[in-house]
Amino acid sequence: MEALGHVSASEARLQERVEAPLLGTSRAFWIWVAVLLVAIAWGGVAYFLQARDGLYVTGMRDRIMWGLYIALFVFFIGASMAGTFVSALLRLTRATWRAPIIRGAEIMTVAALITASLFVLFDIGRPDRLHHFLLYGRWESPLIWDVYGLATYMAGSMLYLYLAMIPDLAFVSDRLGDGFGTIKRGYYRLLSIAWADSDEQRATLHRAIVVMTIAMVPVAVMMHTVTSWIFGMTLREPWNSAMFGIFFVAGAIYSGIGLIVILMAVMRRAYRLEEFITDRHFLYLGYMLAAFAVIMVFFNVSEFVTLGYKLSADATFNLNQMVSGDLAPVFWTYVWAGLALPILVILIPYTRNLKGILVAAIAANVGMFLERYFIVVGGLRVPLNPYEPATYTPSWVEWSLMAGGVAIFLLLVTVLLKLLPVVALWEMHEEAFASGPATSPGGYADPSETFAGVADPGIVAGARS
Amino acid sequence: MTRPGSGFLIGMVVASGLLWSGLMTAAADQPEPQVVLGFQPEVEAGGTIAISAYLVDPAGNPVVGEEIAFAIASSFLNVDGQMEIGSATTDLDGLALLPYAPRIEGDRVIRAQFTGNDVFASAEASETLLVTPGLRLHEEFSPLRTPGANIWMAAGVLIVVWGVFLFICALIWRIAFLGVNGGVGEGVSSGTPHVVTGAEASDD
Repeated sequence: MEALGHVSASEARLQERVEAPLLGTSRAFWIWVAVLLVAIAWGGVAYFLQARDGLYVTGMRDRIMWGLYIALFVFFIGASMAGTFVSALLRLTRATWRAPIIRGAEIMTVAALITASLFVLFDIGRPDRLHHFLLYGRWESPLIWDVYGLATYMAGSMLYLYLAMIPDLAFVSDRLGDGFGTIKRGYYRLLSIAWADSDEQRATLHRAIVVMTIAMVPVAVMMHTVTSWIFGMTLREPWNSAMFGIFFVAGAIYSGIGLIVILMAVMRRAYRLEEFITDRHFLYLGYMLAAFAVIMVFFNVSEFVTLGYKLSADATFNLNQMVSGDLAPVFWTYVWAGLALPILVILIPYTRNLKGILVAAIAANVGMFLERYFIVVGGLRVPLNPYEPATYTPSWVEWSLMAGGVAIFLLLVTVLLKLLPVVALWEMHEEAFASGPATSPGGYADPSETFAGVADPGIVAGARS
Repeated sequence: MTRPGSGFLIGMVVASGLLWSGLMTAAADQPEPQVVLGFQPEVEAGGTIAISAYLVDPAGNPVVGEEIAFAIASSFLNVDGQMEIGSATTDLDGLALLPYAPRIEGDRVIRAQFTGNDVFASAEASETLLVTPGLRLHEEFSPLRTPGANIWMAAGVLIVVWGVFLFICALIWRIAFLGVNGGVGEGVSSGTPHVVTGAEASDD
C-alpha cells in the first residue's frame, strides 16, 4: 500500500470542516434543537391524549382504519432507502463522486427507520400490547413479515453505517483526543475499536464492506417490497396489484434521492462544505432524481391504463375519486408537482442548478408523501358493501403527532450529524482525493476538477447561474 | 300549627305511596311463567348447538308467540355484562329455538330471558355450556400448495441475512483484535487520512 507523507491543503480544510461540529456547538444549533424539542413535546401531549382516550381522538374509524400515521410510516420507510441502498449502489458501481454524500445519507437512513417505527407505534390503539406481535403474530401475515423486515433492515443499516465509519472514528479520536472531555474521548475510542490502520485491518475492513454492500441491496429491496405487500396482499381492489413491490421500491429510491439532495444542501451550508459537496454532486443526484421520476411516471401510467381499460366497479370508483373526486387535489398535486416538475427542472438547462434541483427534490418528496396518502386512504375509501364511501380527515392529534414525528426525525439527524464525522474522510482520501488509476479506478483524475466546484460546463450550463 | 301547602305535600306522598303499592300489587298478582332452558352440555369451539327455551305458564301450558332473548355472560376491558347472542319467538309448544356457534373456549353461562307482558311477569333461566377446544377456526391448509413455501423458507431467508450480519460482527471483532494485538502504526497507509498540521499541509 502506498504510504502517505502528507495531505493536500484541500484535504486539510475538509478535515477541519468535519472536526468543527465535533469540537464546538453554535448558538444556532441549540436554537434549532430547542425548536425541535418544542415540537416533540407538543406531539407528546397529543400522544398522551391518544393513549388515554384511544384512537377515537383521531379521524380514523372502522372503515378507514389507516390514515396519516401509516402514510407517514410508508414515507419514512421510503426515506430510509436513500442512504443504504443508494450508498450501496454507488459503492458497487464504484462511483467515486459518492464519497462526500454517503455518510449523511446513511445517517438519514437510520433516523428514518427509527421514525418509521414510531409511526407504527402511534397507529396502534393499545401500545401496551406491542409485544403481542412477537407472542401471537402469525408468520403468514405480511404485517409480521414487515416487523421482521424492518428489524433486519434497521440492524443492517446501523451496521453498514458503523462499518464505513471506523477509520474516521479512529481519526477523530486521535486527532481530537485532547480537545474532548473524558466521556467523549472514551466514546470515540470505544467506537474506533483500536483501529491502527494496519494492512490486516484495512483488508478485513474492505472485505466486510464489500460483503455488507452486496448484502444490503437485496435487504433494502426486500424491506420495501414487504412494506408494499401490507397493502398488496389485503383484499382491496385499489391495492390489488402485482406491481406494488417494484412500485414501492422505485418510489422509495425516488423520494430517498430527493431527501439526500435536501440534506446535502443543508450540510453544505451548515458545515461550509461547498468545496467538497459541489454543484456536480447535485447535478448527478438531479439526474438520478429525474430518471426515477420518469420510472414513476411509467409505473403510474401502466397501472392506471390497465385498471382504467378494464374498469371494474371498484376501479371506477377508485379512479374517479382520484381524478375528479375527493382526492383529486391530492392526486393532481402528486402528478404535477411530484412527478412532472422534477423532470422539467432537470430537463431545462436554465433551472438545472443547485436551487432548481433543491426545489425539484422538495417537490418530489411532497409528491411522494401525497402519493402514500392517497394509496392508504383512497384504497380504504372504496366501499366493500353498497353503502356511501367513508370520509377521513386527520384530527389535530394526528397532525400534532406528525409534527412530533418529523421533529424526532430531524433531531435524530441533527444529533447524529453532530456526534459523527459528517463526511467519510477515509473514502474521500482513498478515492476522491487520490489521483491516478492505481488508487482510484474510474475516479477523479484531477482532484481540482472535483473539489474546486467547477463542473463540466457542458452539462451544468445553468449550475453557476 | 301547619304551614300553608303542607297538606298538598302530604297528599302527594300518600298518593305516590298508594300508586307504588298498587303497581307492586299488580305485578305480584301477575302469574309467573317459567323458562326451561336446554342444550347439549358440551360443544367444541366453532361447532353449532341448538339452544331451546320453553316458556310455560304456572299450570304448565305453553305461552305462544312471545320473544325470548338469549345472552351470554361476557367480559370486555374489565366490564362484565350480558352480550345478546340472538332472540327467537315461542311456537305453539312454547318453544323458542336459537342455533348458536360459540367460538371462545371455556365455561359460558347462557341466559334466556322473557321480559314479561300484560299477562305474565318476567322470567329467566340460565345454564352453563362447556366449550372445549379442538375444532380449528381457520383453514389449516392453503388451497394452493407450493412445495417448499413454508415457515422454514421464510426463516431460512432471515437466518442467511442475520448470518451475514453476524459474519460482519465477527470481522469487526477481528479488526479490534488486530488493533489490540497487532500493534499500532505499522505504517500510515492510504486508508486513514494522516493527522496533519498546518505546516504539513501543502497547497494544491
